[in-house]
Amino acid sequence: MMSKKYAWVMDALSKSPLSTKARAMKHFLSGKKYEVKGTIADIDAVIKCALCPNMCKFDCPVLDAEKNEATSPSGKMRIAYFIEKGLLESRDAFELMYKCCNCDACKQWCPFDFSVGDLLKGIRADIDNKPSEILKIKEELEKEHILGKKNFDMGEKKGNILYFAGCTVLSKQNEIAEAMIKIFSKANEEYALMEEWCCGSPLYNLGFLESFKKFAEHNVKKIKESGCKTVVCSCPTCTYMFKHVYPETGFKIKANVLHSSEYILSLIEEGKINVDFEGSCVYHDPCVLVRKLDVKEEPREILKKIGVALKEVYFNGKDTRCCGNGGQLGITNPSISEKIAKERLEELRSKAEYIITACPSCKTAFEENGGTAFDIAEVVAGIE
Amino acid sequence: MAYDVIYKGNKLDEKILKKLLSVVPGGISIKESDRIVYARDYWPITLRWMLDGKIPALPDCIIWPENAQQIVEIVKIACEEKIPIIPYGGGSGVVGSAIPIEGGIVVDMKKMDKVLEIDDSSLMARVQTGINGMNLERHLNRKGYTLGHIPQSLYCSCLGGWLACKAAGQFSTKYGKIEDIVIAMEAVLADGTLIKSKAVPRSSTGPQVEKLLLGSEGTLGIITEATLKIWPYPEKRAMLSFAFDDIARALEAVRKIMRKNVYPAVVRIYDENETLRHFYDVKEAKNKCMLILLMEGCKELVDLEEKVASKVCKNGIPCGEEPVIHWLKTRFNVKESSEFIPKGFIFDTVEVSIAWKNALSLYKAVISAMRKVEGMVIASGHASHFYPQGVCFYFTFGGIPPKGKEAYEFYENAWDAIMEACLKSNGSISHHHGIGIIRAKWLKEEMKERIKMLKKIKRAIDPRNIMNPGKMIK
Repeated sequence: MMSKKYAWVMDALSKSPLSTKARAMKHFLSGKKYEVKGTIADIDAVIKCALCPNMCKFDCPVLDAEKNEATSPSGKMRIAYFIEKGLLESRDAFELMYKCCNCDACKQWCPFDFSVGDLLKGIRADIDNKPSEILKIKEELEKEHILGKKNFDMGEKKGNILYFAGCTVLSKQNEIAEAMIKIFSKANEEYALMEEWCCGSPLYNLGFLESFKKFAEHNVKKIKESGCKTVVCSCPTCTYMFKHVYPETGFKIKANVLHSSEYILSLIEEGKINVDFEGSCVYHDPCVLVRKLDVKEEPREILKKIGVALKEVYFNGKDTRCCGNGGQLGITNPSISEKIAKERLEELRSKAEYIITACPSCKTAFEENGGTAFDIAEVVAGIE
Repeated sequence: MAYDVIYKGNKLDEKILKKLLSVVPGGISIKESDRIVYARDYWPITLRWMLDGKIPALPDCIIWPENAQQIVEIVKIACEEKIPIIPYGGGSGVVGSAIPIEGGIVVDMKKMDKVLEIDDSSLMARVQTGINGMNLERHLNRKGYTLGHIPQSLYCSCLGGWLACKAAGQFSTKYGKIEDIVIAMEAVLADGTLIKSKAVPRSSTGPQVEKLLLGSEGTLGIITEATLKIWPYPEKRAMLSFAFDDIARALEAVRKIMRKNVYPAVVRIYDENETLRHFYDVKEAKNKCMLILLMEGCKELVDLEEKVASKVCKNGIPCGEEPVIHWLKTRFNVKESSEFIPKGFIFDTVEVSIAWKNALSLYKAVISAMRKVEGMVIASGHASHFYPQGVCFYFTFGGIPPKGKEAYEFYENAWDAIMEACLKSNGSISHHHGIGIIRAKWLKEEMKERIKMLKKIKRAIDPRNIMNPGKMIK
């Protein structure tokens, strides 16, 4: 607070009458008037975001889809503040707290570096009367251990590189796992498989912190038992959870966690696999991969090396737009998710018919809305 | 309800709601959370109210029309039932214009956000008014153009708000203010009449009556579409900055640049306190006043403007490009409200305009008046929009209400002090933020006899007083 940056305030304060100076200093030093005790949410951050003129809202996919100011980043935080203060208990206010695709577009423009998706996690955890649809997600996850209906049993296998497919691959995008297995085989890599439970991201995001811990414990234990020094994930969210959220919440993974695009690039660079591809495609940057994990160039490098004529959309790299499935929005608010997916799909299709991405959820969003999309692993393994 | 509502006056019933629903099926909300969010714009005192658990005013409902015809129908229903209508764009106004103080229907324009046409040969774009400013500028940039209208609220405001509140952007010294940029408009008036003007550069066909809507702050009608001037994206940018011993010398330098008919896109002069606030890292600017200049456009013209401006500013200390780059990087960082309001500070900014001959005296009078307000800590200013005839000063005040005074009392004292000082110095009480609630009581003195004309116009266009009632004129 007293850095050079605030010299102008200190300078002004020094020229103020003594009584004003004393009152101002008292406010600055105590400054806890708006604190709400006993919350998981970061109230200071919620207040800062709620007081902002909403300078990131133009880039918020949910607002763009809904056109409702309440769904804007700052709009949600204004309501969140009232919820946390106990001033508001309406169902629609609680439901609003789940209208976010956790894409971090807001963070790109925030002078405080806030991600509304991150702020909402604490608020959701504080809500006692969670909407029934949200409770259902938790109950199903606790029963099935993966999100969605598992229809691909990979079994367990010993090896050097542990492959973690993730819920979407196991339920809806089996071909991505098949492609990864093909790549491992082509490269003569001994891959390992474990009894996968969801990485816990939906539970963590939706505010079920205790339940999340059980999932983290299971996965950490299984990864340790595999003895592998490297874990390769097809899903950027699983990668992010293992690399960042697990350690932040006290769950250490000793292995090196890589996203499949990072791993595949290393195989190509080491000459372990060789692929020739003809054709033109557009690449979609998954939000979590490019913004939370800073992986922008690796997928592009792969595509370049295998001969793809790569097309770029205006909103690429960290300026990417969400596919609509981020932050479990496809489950909590399917109609918003669909609008976001269609908007992004339209932009991508203006460049090429075939979309390549590096996230099973993004691929699903595009396919479910009429697009033709492939995971980068499928392209490298050879699309069949 | 566990929260307080400051302005009360709701009146919508089930029957009217049904009528509205027949016009915009599924496009209406009466949810409590939506009504709370649409209860205010960005009038700074409402931020303090929010922290204190107070809502400025609750609208009865929010409605999202998708075309002008639906707005016509909505307005007709509101007119028949005498229900207030509050047009809403980005909600970024800072004087309370969008607060539904008598309840009513908030008409959110965000679904009308398309760029309908770009006419390259005529350098015009036809755009729906619900479009967000940054999304419009990005759309134009992708096609190789710029609008040149870059207010600090670019990211959170929309075209309709710019027109209705008579906005000015940071690059306005070159590209003009919104009234210079707009060519034609389509609007729905208070009785449901849809008007359209022609997209021609000029016409001598009597008063351009549609232009009454510029600055009307939603009190006469809803602007639904506008044709705007656009420009090819600039080939070159040049940046200069100079530190002057005092604000008088900096103002004089800019006045001389303007007299030469040279129009840099960005011209900003910061007083000593604001120089310390924004350029604390520039050693040459310590205890001085910073002037930054940004020229853009075709290369030859920019080179010439740079040459002329450098020559005129020879009495200042050249500080190079860096301060301008710093300004470009930080110009949208609006952190102060978030940082200081929770600490009990009451903040606001007030912009006024003045002819050159009274410019310096107005600046001094306003700073002095702000400092005299009990509890004031920060009283500073910069000049941000320039003309050969005068300048816009943009003042910032911040302080802590003295013992025994409520937040609003201190806030109003500060505003009154600034408005009085401005009027005494022959300034206009607003350059580009508008009137809204906070300036309404000063409008009579500003407009003198003209206020009667404004009232007559309002009565003629909106006899049932449904359009944003309680604002500007009561």
